Order: sequence, then structure tokens, then C-alpha cells
Amino acid sequence: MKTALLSIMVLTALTLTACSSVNDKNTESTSSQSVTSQTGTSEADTDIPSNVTSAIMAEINIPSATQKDIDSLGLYYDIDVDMISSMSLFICGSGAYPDELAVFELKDSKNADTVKKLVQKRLDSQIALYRDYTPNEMYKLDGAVLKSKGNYVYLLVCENNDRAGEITDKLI
Amino acid sequence: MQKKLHNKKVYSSFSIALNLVIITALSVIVILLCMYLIKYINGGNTTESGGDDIHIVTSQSEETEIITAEIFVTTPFTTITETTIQVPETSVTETAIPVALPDNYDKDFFASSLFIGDSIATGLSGFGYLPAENVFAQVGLNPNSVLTHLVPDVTVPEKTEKTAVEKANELQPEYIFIMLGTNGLAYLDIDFMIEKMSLFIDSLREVSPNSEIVVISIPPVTAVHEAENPEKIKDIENYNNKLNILADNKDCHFIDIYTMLLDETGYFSKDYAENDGLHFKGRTYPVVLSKIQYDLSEEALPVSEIVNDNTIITEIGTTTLFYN
Repeated sequence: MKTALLSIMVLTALTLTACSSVNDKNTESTSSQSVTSQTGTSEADTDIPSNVTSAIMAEINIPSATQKDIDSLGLYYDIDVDMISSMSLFICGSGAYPDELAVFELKDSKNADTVKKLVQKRLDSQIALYRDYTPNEMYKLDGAVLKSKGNYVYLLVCENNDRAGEITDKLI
Repeated sequence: MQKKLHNKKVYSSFSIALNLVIITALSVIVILLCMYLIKYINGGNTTESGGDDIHIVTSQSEETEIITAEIFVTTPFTTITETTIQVPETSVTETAIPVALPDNYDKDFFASSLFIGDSIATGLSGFGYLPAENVFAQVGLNPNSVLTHLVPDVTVPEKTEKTAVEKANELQPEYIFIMLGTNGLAYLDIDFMIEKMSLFIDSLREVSPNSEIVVISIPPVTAVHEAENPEKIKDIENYNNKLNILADNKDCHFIDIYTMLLDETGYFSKDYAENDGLHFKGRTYPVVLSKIQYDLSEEALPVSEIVNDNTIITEIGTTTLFYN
């Protein structure tokens, strides 16, 4: 009887552990904005660009948000990748909306002005494209936040640029 | 004394056996519970093709000539999902109505392809379903502007601007896909757009004679989009019909992606339409690419055949569905 009772307790503990880990896996897989880190929390904490975009998207909807990595950067920005320490870039994948979040951490803050001008070039081309195409969306581009701060340069284009800017200011 | 010892041994063996039975029974219960919980957490309604029993029962109304199909899907965990669709009788006999749209296109199939289009086509690379090298598209492009408009080629460092014809000339792709017209509907005459498409096809043929040119129908719009914007379903259908004729006259392929994206009300299905009712959700692109691949590979999407008045057979891959 003691053996049976012990068996029941062990099995119950195993069940709860197994189901808990399955639930955690499902939670991770449904989260589209989690910052993955190979080396643990310390790297996630210092990945400021990802933290910024994650924090913004936690509050503000970016339609069809699609993340682009550094290999794709050249399709959107004429920025030399050697200048970049880390980045986080989200565009609207469907092309329907001009929403975009681009946060760059530069290796050298001396390049901030150069990078900011290149980001402005991207913003100008988007304005030219969307002005006649989706006039209702132009408020996002006209009110875009484009700033440089130390070795960070960022462009925020979304339905609430002011709030996105506030979030960014707290993190950078 | 010996009897006592014997009884003790018997009792001990019995006790061990009982414990084993209890442990086994508990293990089975725990495993079943885990399986049920996993299924419940995952939503319970996911069906995978090839793994489920699908039974479809139809009934036909004599008054409305509409066939109602009730689809029962039995999963290995005995969860039943029921979907009811109403299918006009004529469309069952004339068009293919797949129960599930395939989305398992092969990226390699499109390795030597060039998609030319407007903002909708930008999503092919925007969402990452095809490399940027295979997409030459820009917001606002239409059948008139495509001939002369300079589009930045994002695949080169300088983003040199060029026309679509120049890009085709450089690439000499195996397939050139053209999906244009949605933008023009608002302010261009349909016959004018068809005329420009004809010139565009001629220009592409001239610079890339070995490429197979594929004209793709433009997609539908949602009812909400139609109510608030100049793009109307009847104009889209009119344009697509004329595109089909043009493609035939020009000895080009024509691929109809319009029909399969419709919902039961005849508008762009919300399952595939972006919030604006005109562009695509991400999941739409692999469906469209699969349709294109299957059509060009002569592996058609499932076609419904009426075997007799009461039975319709639809084949999807290796699964045959019987409408009784």
C-alpha cells in the first residue's frame, strides 16, 4: 500500500511537470515578438533595438508586422552593415500600410548623422510612394519619429508615433 | 508457524501484484489525461490533411437549387469539427471547389522567375515567401505605368532604377509572372488597361523570348472595401475575363487566383484578405504560389466531379472526399 501511494504521488508530480512544460511551449510558440537569445537573459537585456520594437508592438498595432534581419537591410536602407552593432527592423509585409519600426545601434556614434540621413532617404521615398496611393495613411509618415541619440538612430512610423516615441525615449 | 509464513508470503505476492495493477492503471489514466490536455491546449480543432477522417453529407434544396454540404472531421482524439458550406449547384458542376487550399509550394520551382506587380506583389518578398531577386514590384504600379515607370532595383547596392522590361532583359527568367490591374481600376478604362497589357507582353517577349509569360488574374476585394472604394467586384471580374482572353490570344498562360480567394458571398475571403480588404494576409501568398505551381506543373487543384445526382467526388492529394 505504501508503494502504491508513493507511486501515485510520483506519477502526479510527473503529470503536472509534463503538462506545465507543454503549456510553456505553446505560450512561446504563439508569441511572435519574443526576443530570442542564445546566451541567456544578459544578452536580451542589452539588445536595446529589439527591446524597443518589442515594447512598441506590445502597445501599438503594426499591421502584418514582418521582421527583417541584417541580411535584408540593403533592400530597404542604404546603410553600410559594418556600421551597425545591432538592429531591429519591422515592416508591413503586405505592402498595404507604411508602418515601419527601425532601430539601429551603431558601433560608433560618429556615424549617427550619416545613418540618420540615409534613414531620412528611406522615409522620403516612402512618403513619395504612399502619398498618392493611400492618402489616409499619410498621417503615419508625416508624423514619423526620426531621431539619433548617442549611437542609436531610429525611425518610427505607426498609428501612434507620439506614444512610440515616448516608449523609445525610456529605453534609449 | 510455517502456515503463517506461507500465508504471509502469499499475501506479500498478492500485495505486489495489486500494486503493479494499480500503478499500470494509473499510468494509463495519466497518459490519457496528458493527451487530452495537450489536445485541449492546442485548440482542439486543428485538422491535418491526410490524418483525419472527413465525411461530407450534402442535401439539396429543390427551391433554391443550393447544395448544403456539412463537413464532419473526426480527429484521432474524437474531436469533431463541423463546417457547413452552401454551394450553388451550378458552381459545383462548373468550377473546382477545394475544401482546403494547398500552401505547400516549392520555392525552388520559382528560382528562375520574375514576378512583376504592384503593392500586392511586394508582399511576396515582404513576407519572405520569395527572395527579392524574384520580385519586381512597387506600390501603385499599373498596366499603363509599368511600361515606362522606373522602379528601384533593390537587389543591387545602388538600387538602380529601371523598367520592368529592362529587369526582364537582365534576368532572362524561365517564367515572367504579371499581376497588374488592381491599381488601374480606380481611374483607368478596362479596355485601355488590356491594351497596355498587350503592349507590355509584346515588349517582354521581345527582350526575353525564351521566358514563359504567365498572366495572373487580379484578386477580389471584400464587401467592406467595395463599399468604400472605387474597386468593384464586377469590374474586377470584367477585367479578369478580358485578361484571360488576352492571355489566350498572346499564347500566354493564364492563372485564375480570383475564384479560389472568394468566400461564399462572392467577395474576398476574410481568411485571406488584409485589413484593408484588398491586399493579402501573409498566409495568402503560399496559397497563391501553390496554385500557380500546380497549374504550371499540370497538377491541378482538386476538381469536383458529379458522378451522379447525389454523389460528388473531390480528390485532394491522396484523400478522396465523397459527397453523399
